[in-house]
Amino acid sequence: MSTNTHDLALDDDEHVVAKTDELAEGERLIALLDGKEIGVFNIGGELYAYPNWCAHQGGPLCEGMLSGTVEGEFDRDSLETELEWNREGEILSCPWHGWEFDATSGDCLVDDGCRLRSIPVRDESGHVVVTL
Amino acid sequence: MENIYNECIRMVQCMVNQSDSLAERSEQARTNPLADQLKEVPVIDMDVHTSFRHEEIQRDMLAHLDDPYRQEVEYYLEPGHSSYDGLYPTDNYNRDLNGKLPTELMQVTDSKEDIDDVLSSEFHVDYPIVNMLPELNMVRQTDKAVAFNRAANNVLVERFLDGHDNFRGLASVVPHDPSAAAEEVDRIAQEDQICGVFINSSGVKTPLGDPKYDPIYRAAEDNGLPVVYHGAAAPGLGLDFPIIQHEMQTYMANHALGHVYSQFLNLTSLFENGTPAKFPDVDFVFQEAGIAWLSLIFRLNREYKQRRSEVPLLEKTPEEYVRDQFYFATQPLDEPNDQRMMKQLIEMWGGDVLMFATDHPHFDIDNTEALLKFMGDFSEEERNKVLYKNSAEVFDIDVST
Ligand code: FES
Repeated sequence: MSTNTHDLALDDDEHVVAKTDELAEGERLIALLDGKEIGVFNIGGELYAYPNWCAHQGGPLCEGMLSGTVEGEFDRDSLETELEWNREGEILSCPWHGWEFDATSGDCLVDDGCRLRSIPVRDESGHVVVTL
Repeated sequence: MENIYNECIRMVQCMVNQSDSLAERSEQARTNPLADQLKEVPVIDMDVHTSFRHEEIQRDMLAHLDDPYRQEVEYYLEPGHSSYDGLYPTDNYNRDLNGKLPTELMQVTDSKEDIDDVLSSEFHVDYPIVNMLPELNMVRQTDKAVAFNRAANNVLVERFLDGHDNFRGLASVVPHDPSAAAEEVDRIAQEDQICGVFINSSGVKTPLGDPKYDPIYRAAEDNGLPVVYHGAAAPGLGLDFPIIQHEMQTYMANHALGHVYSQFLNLTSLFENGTPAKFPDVDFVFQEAGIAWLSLIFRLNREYKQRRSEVPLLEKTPEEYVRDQFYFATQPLDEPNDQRMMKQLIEMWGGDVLMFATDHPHFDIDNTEALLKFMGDFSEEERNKVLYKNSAEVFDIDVST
């Protein structure tokens, strides 16, 4: 059972964006907080939040597809390349140009200099609380 | 050609003399009942040819052609000029421009006279790296292509490298049978002066990053040799890019596009297959397309970032691989109208990736001084990298001797 929002003692910079049970595993929401769009994700039961803004050209990153990606391994002796589909549900692709981000760490898979800024987010008494 | 025909005629006469005389043969023919029937019939043969390309016929043609085509035929009929394929959209399609611009400034058959003497006096070159350019990619018969290629490598060593300590050679491979090519790399790499593997970029059919060529890259890596891609408007270009040779009007277009197109194709293929990631100790060297085409690298950066999951072996951007493992010959120097732009182009890639080359003895030749002119306010180190340090490192040449 969740408490009511007004029962939570929140600082000014803390915002409830949903009840925890409204954000099921694999789901995300975009919240508008202080005029900023924030993407909040539940990935494997953990919460993550990032600005809905892509460092490439400003696309709405957090609205992109959340899926897996292909990883490859080359064996020099056999000269065979093995491809695997990995990390299902953890890779966020920007809808504008497809840049891939690891939604569990904020790392950009194609540009080291482009790490996402993680925004603190927690579950408090059944509420998803984002700290700006 | 004529000699072969004369030989045939002589052989036929021989055979006739050995059997019956001509008179006896026609006697026999007359007794053939079928021949009897045909005597009364006015037979028409509706397909008889002349030897249109025979020199005598071509000389007759001259009287009926206006300039410049008359001069073109006249030029190609002279011995020693490129073969007379001038009418057809092949690589030879009036390459020499009726003799105004001969493909070869001279014939190169001797290391001292035709290479060392010329390059050292004209272009200040101390260490020539020679390739045979056998252009065998389009040979249909695999064992024949392999055999000719091997022979060409042996000639390179025996005729051009042996006894010329300042010379190095690039050993050719043909794409037909990558395992055979890898064996050839293992064999020829035993020669001290062989410093790289050479592949002509056109006519390879399957682009050169394809995994089927991996045995070649592995062999190059095992032997510590770079792989050199030679851009060319060469045989096979019409297969790779048929529109160039079948629809474009001029050799100007053919030559402008051929080198860069084939280099575009093969360099992109290396990235789509992750070849530089598979073989991190191989250096990849591109010749004969100038450097302005390297804007492709920036486009590849973008494509990589947009579609990384298609090329999962790549661990960094194409540009990062290029600056680590790739090199580009400066020749032929691109010619922006504003010379400052050429300097900017050289600066963009500079000491990281550029290597000086002349292309001797071809009509694209670059003078060392022409390159140096653009590098006046570069640091000495940067200039030296382009003039020799990059090559010395990649081709493992000790220039202190
Ligand atoms: S704006 Fe996000 S990938 Fe370009």
